[in-house]
This record gives sequence, structure tokens and C-alpha cells, in this order.
Amino acid sequence: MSTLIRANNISWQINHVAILKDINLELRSGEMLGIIGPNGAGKTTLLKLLARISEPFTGSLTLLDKPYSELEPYNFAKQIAYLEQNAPVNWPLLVEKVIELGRSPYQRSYKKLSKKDDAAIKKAINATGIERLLGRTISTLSQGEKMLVALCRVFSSEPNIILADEPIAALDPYHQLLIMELLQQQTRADQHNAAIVVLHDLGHAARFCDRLLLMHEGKIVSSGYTEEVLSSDNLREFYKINCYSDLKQGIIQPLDRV
Amino acid sequence: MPKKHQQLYFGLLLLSIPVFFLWHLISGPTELSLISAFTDLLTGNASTDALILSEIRLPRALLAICIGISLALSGAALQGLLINPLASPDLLGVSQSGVLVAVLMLYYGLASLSWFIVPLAAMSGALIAVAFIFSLAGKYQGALTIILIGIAINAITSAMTSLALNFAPNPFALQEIYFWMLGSLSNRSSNELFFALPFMLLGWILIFPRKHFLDAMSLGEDTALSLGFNLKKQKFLLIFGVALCIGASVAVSGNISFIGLMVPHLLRPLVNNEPGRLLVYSAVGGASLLLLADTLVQNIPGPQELQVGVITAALGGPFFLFLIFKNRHLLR
Repeated sequence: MSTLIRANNISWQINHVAILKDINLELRSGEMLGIIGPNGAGKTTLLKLLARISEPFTGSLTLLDKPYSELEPYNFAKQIAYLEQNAPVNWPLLVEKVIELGRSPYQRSYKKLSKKDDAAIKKAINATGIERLLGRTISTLSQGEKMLVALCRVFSSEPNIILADEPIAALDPYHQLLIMELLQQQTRADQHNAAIVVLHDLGHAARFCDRLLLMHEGKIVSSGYTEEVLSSDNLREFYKINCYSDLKQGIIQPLDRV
Repeated sequence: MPKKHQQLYFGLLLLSIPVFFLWHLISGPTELSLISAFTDLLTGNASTDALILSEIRLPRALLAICIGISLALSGAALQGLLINPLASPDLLGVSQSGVLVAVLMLYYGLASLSWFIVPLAAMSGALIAVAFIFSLAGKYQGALTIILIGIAINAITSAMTSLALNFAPNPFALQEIYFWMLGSLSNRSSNELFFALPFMLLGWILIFPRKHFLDAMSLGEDTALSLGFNLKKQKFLLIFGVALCIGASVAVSGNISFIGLMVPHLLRPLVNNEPGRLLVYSAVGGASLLLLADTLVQNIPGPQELQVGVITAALGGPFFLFLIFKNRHLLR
């Protein structure tokens, strides 16, 4: 198992308020790493730094031991794909156009899509099973369908690493399972693949993630396998809740506030 | 809209350009036989018809095409960049700022120093306005913020332009300044065309290749970044291209309003709302619309020829109201 992404002591601030403090993490090949934590813990900010959308104030980030700054944006985008929270689409585009945008890192001129592009798009559509949505306008889709299209867009760029920010928030149980299963399949599909997923649903985090990072007030306060991170003590201290949990079944039911 | 219909409409739009072009050439205060004028021109026979064609009508028609392309292309680029259907060079005050700086040059007599002072002033005015809008709107470029900033810039620049008019030293300066406020294409020669064309061409060259970037911007800035686009560079090239297009247009024709707003809007259904493909379509549509408008002003009877800016504004004002009504959920 090799290390794909490594973060060394990264921190980030806005208006002199520290949002992330001394974060260290590594993403290993073949794993699905979950980032959990209460609202305002800095999960989204951390994911944006890892996706190179913002730059850390201090510390360093490497992809396969190469500093982020030495990587061309296009090459970086071919390896790491980012799935934004709610997956916004600002114009009422056709579904196939949104998926095609996943090929942007490979399209640098005015040329039409190549055969390789078409093959990648087809594969992504098959993997996510959204043939039935083709030809429709994105604004007519449900939130679950929109997220499937966004995931298909991410798959179409054939990345090794997927960074997903709350991909299942606001989805019905069917689509929650479907999206998590697709992410897991993609992670397992190749030994060089991996994913980092920010999650609020602790049950899904326990069930689908190989390792978890628990964040609280800009720091990683616990990391490791799900049983260690989702201990009753941690949930009480950082989430301020008492839970009934059966981690093997992926069940964490909040009972009351502390 | 089905693909076949889209192609049909685009074909008609393309076809409209040569039709309006010919109609434009035969329109004007004197009757002109196009065939004899063209044969005289080609055989080197210096007849009156050939002179009218080569010195007056052809430059004006070509200028209408180039300015139409530049205005509509800039509108499409700004709407795609700001992800805002209400963005356009004139509503954001970009054109007005170009007008103001050009007027100041005329007012202080600096225009007579060299032929390129006024156009250069118009371009820098446009550039300053776009840079100002982007720095002020910052990262949160909501529909409302941008439009409000545009209203403010328009108010400030109009007031200052009126001030210059008020204190105009002589009637001649007053007339010259007045020209900047109403767009017009009359009495333009090939000098204006050859002056403006290089800047417009450079603007087009900067804007057209940003097709993929504008498409990616539909997914928001963060996702566009994650797709490998260098946002700062792409934005700068696009804005610079818009400033060149608007500056050059304002420099030779004054402020022809609403083309940049209307054309991308009308054509968006033909490209399934794709901001990238909309660029080429808008360029074609802009050329067609301005040719038509400029032909109409020459054919409307009256003691004096109407300014084409008046026609586009008369069409564009109600259209803008319609847009606001249609997009009112965005403006809450």
C-alpha cells in the first residue's frame, strides 16, 4: 500500500481566524477515507486544500511524493477529481454536457471529443446507470439524480482519487446507498484508486469507510479504524451526543444530547 | 428544442447576414445600382456609384458586422463568466466608462494630439470598469450585487459625461461629445474600420478559445478550478478581450446599447444553454442584428437619419424589462 496524498502540518485561516490547525494526514492507495466531525469543524476547508482549490497558509501537500506546486493544473486534474457539495450547475444544461465537462482536463483546444473521451464518458454512464437521464435538462432532475450525474462527470475524467464533499447529504436512503456503493466500487476498481469522503451520516461512515478522521475545531482529534474513531467517548466529547451503535451493521442512532 | 430545429435556425441566422448586408449596401440617401457600382469598382472606373460604395457604404456595413460581433460576443462572455443572464457591457457600465474617458480626452483637447488617443481612452475606460466590477464584487458575484454595481457605475459615468457636456467649451465640442452618447455608424470611413479592426480581432482571439473555460464555469468556480483551469489567467484573458472589443466598438461608434444583452439571450435556446457554444452563435447573431438595425435607420423616413443606438435602445429597453420579469426569482 503506497501513500497517494500526504499533508504535512497544513493550516489555513481567514481574517486571522484559524480554520485549520496543523493537519497531518495520508491517503493510501485502495482505501476510502472518511472525514467526519460536527458542523464548522473545517472538513470542507480541508477537502478544498486537498483538491488544490485553496492553498494552505503553512505546511505542504504532496501527491505521490511530488509537491502540489510542481504539478501542472491539467495533470493534477487528471488524477484528482473533486465533487462539490450539492454539485451546483448554474445554467440549465443537458445531462450529457455536464458529463462531458469531466473530460475538460483532456480537452485543451477547440477540437471535438476524441474517441478516448467518448469511451470514458460511455464507461462512466454505464457505471452510474444514468442512460435514462440522457437528453434531459439538469434543472428537471431530482437532487439524487443530480448527484448521480455529478458522480458520472467525476468518473468520466477517470481520476485515481476522488474527493467528495458530503455527496449524500439531502438524498433519500436509496440514493445515499447507491452513491456510497458507486464510490466504493470505484475505489476498489484499481489498486491505485482511493477516495476521501466528507460525511455527516456516521452509520454510512462506519459501513463504507476503511479509515476515519474525526475533526473538531480545525484539528484532527481522532483517526484510525472506525471502531476507534466512533467510540462512545469520542461521540460524547466531540458530537455531544449519546448513541446506540452497532458498528458492524453500520448503525449509529443518536439517543440524546449530552 | 430539437437538434434539427436548432440547426435550421442557425442556418437562417447565417443566411441573414449576406441578405442584410446587401440590403444595407443599397440603403441610403442616394439610389445605387449595386451591379454597376461593383463592376466599376473592379474595373477601376472611378464613377460616383463606385466611390459611394467603396468609401461610404462598404465600410459602414463592414463596421456594423464587426461591431455587432464584438458587442454580442462580449455580452455572451460576460454572462458566462459571471454566470448571470443580466450581465452585459452596457448594463455593467463598461461601455459608459469607455465613453466617459473618451469624452474627457475630447473635452481637454487631448484628442487632437494623435489619432489613437480617443480609441485608446475608450479602451482603457472599458478595462478600468471591468477591473473595478470584478474587484468590488469579489468572490460572491451574485446577480444582484453585479447589477447594482453596474447601476452605480452607469450613474457615476453618465453624471460625469453630462458635466463635461455642461461645460463644453464650444458647440463643436458639444456636438462631438454628444456623438459618444448616442451610438451611430453614419459617416464612417474605411479609416475607422481599419483602426478598430485589429483591436477587435485581438479581442475575438482572446475570447473564442475560452469556450471550454466558460462551459466549466457553469459548475461554479471551485469545480472549474478542480478541472484544471487556471482561473486567474482565464478570467484575465477574457476580461481583457471584452475590454478590447468594447473599447474599440465605443471608439468608432459610440455607445450602441443592448446588443450585448439581447443577442446571447435570444440564442441561448439554440445551444442548450451552453455558454461555450453560445460565443460563436452570439457573434453571428450580433452581426446580423446590428446590420438589420443600421439598415432600418437608413430606411426610416424623416428629416434626419436616426442614430442606430436609439433603435437598439428602443428595442432593448422593453426587452430588458421582460428579462427582469422573467428572472425576478434571481433578483430577490
